[in-house]
Amino acid sequence: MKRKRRTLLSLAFLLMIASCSDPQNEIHKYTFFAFGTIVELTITGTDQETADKAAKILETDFKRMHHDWHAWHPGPLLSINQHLARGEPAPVDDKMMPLLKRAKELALMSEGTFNPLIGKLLEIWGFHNDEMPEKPPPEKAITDFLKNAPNPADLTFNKQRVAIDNPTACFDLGGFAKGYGIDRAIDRLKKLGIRNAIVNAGGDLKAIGKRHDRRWRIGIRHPRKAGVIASIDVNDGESVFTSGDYERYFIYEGKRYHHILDPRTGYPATDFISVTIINPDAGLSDAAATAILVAGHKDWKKIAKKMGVDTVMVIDKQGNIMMTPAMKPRIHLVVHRIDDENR
Amino acid sequence: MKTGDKLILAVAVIFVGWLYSHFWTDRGHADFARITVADGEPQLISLDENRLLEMKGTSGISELEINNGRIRFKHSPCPNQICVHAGWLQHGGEFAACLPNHVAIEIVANTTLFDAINF
Amino acid sequence: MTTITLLPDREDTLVAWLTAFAIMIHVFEAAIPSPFPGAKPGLANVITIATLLIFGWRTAAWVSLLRVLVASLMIGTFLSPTFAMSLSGALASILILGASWRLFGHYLGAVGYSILAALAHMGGQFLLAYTLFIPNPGILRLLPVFMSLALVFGLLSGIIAAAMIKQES
Repeated sequence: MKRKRRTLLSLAFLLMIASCSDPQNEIHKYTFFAFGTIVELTITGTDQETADKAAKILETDFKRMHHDWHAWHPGPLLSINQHLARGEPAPVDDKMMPLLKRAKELALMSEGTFNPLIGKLLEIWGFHNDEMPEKPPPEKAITDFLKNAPNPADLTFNKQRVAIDNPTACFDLGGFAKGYGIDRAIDRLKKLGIRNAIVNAGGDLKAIGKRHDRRWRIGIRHPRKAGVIASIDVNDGESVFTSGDYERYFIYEGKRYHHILDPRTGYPATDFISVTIINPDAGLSDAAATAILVAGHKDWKKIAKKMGVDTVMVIDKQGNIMMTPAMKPRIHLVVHRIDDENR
Repeated sequence: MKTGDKLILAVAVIFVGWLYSHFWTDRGHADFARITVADGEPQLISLDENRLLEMKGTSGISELEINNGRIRFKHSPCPNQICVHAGWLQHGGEFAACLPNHVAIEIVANTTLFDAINF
Repeated sequence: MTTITLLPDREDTLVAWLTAFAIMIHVFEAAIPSPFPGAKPGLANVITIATLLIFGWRTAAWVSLLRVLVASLMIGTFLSPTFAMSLSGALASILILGASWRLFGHYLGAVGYSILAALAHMGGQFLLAYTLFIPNPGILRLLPVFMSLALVFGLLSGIIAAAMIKQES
C-alpha cells in the first residue's frame, strides 16, 4: 500500500515536471492594423484553432468600431456630428448610445478636463487629419471657440436621439473610445471562452487571466526615448493606460504641440508629459488619463479622486515621476527620472 | 553511495546540462523579429544576418535594417518618423510600428521581458 | 506539587552542537568573496543533511533555519538582502528535502539529499534575486554556471555528510 502511494507520488512529481512543455502554455500572438492603430492580441491557455478564430473576430470588431466611431472619416459618428452642427438632434443607434452616454458621465466627473465635445477645437488645431499640422492656429480662432465652448452637461439624450443646443459641439471620442473598445474586445474574448489574454491597442491595454507561469508583465515605454522605464505585473481584468504628449504632436519653432488639448484654455496641456493609470475599467482609465494629463500639478489628485481612479503615475515636464500610494507597490521603476532633451 | 543517490546524481547532471542548453543557446539578444505589413500574415525574420529589408506598406516602402541581432526602421515614408525615432529594437517584446505605412516589428525571443508594452 | 525538570537529552545536545557547527561554517563562508552577492557554496548543507538522516526532517529544518537566523545576526546582515538570499536558499532546500524525504525516505543517502538540497538552495536564491533584485534576463544566463557549482558542492558536502554519519553511528 505504502509503496503504491509512493509510486503515485513519484508519478505526480514527474507529471509536474513534464507539464512545462504543455501545448496549453503556448502563447499565441496576433498583430493587425485596426482602430487607427496597431492592435496586438496575446492569448494563452487555449488551442491554436480557438485563438486563431478569436483573433479574426476581434480584428473585424475593431475595424467596425473604428469605422463607427471615427470623428472625421465618413461613418455614424461623423453623421451625428453633422446633425449637431446644423443644430438638429441626431439619431443614435443602440450600439452607439451607451458609448455617448458614458462619455458624458465621464466628462461631468472630470470637471471639464475631459471634454468629448471639442472636435471643433481639434479641427482648428489641424489634429482632425491623418497628417500632422505644421504650425499652431491663430490665437483668435481659439479664443473664438472658447467663447462658445460646448459643455457636456448640456447634452440631452432621449430614446434614440442626442441633442445639444450649441452648434460648435462636435464629438471627438479620442480620449475615451479606445478604452471603451478594449473593454468590449475583452468581453468578446470572455464570451469566446478565452480566459488568459492581453488586448493591446496602440499601447493601451487590458489583460485577463495570466501567463501559464506568472502574471502578465508589461513594460511602460520611456516617454522620450527607446526602451522601458518601468514594469507592471497586471492582475486579472486590469487595464493599463498611458496618455502622453508624444503620441501625436508636431514641433513648431522648437516647441512641442501635442494633441491632448486643455478644453479650458484651448491649448495643449502643459504640466505633464505622461499619465499612467491602472484600473479594471479601460474606458474610465482612458478618459481619466486624458483628464489627469490636462489637470496638471494643481488638480491632478483631485480629478483622480473624483473620477475614481486611485492607481496613477504622472511624469511632469521636469522629468519628475510622481505616483499615488496605490501605484507605488504595483510598479517596478527602472528609470527614476526622465531626462528630457525636447521639452 | 546508494542506487538512489546515483540516480539523483544522474538526473541532476542532466538537469544542469539542460539549463546550459536552455539559457545559453539564446545569445542574450533576440533571435527573430515578427514583421507585420498591412493585412498580410506576419513573417518571422531571423536577426542573425546583417542586411536591409524593404517592406512595401500601404503608402510606400519602409526600409528596415538588421545589424548584429538588432533591427530598426531606417527609412519610412511617413510624416512624423516616429518609427525611425524608436531606434534599435533588440530585446524580446520590444516593439515599433509605422502606423501610416502599416508596418510593425516586434522582437520574438526565448527570454521575453514583457508580454506587452504600454505607451 | 510536581516539578518538571527540563534536562537536555543527548539528542538536544547534539542538535545544539550541529547548529553551532552549521553557524560556524555559514559565518566562515560569508567571509569568502563571491562573484554573486549572497550566493555561497553552502557547505553548511553538510550539517543539514546529516541532521536529516539522523533525526529526520523536522529537526533538520530547525537546524537550517536557526543557522540562517543566528549567523545573519552574527554577521550583521539580519533582514538585509543577503539575509533574504540565505533564507530563500535555506527555505527552498528545506522544502525540497521535506518533499523528497517523504517520497524516497531511506532509499536515498546523504549524497542524493545533499545534491537535491544544494540545487534547491541555489535555485531559491536565484529565484529571489531574479524576481526581487535584478529582474533582468541577463542574470538567468549565470544560472547554469551557478547550478553546476551547486552540483559540485552538493556532491562534495554529501560525501562529507556520509562520512560524518558513519562516524556518528
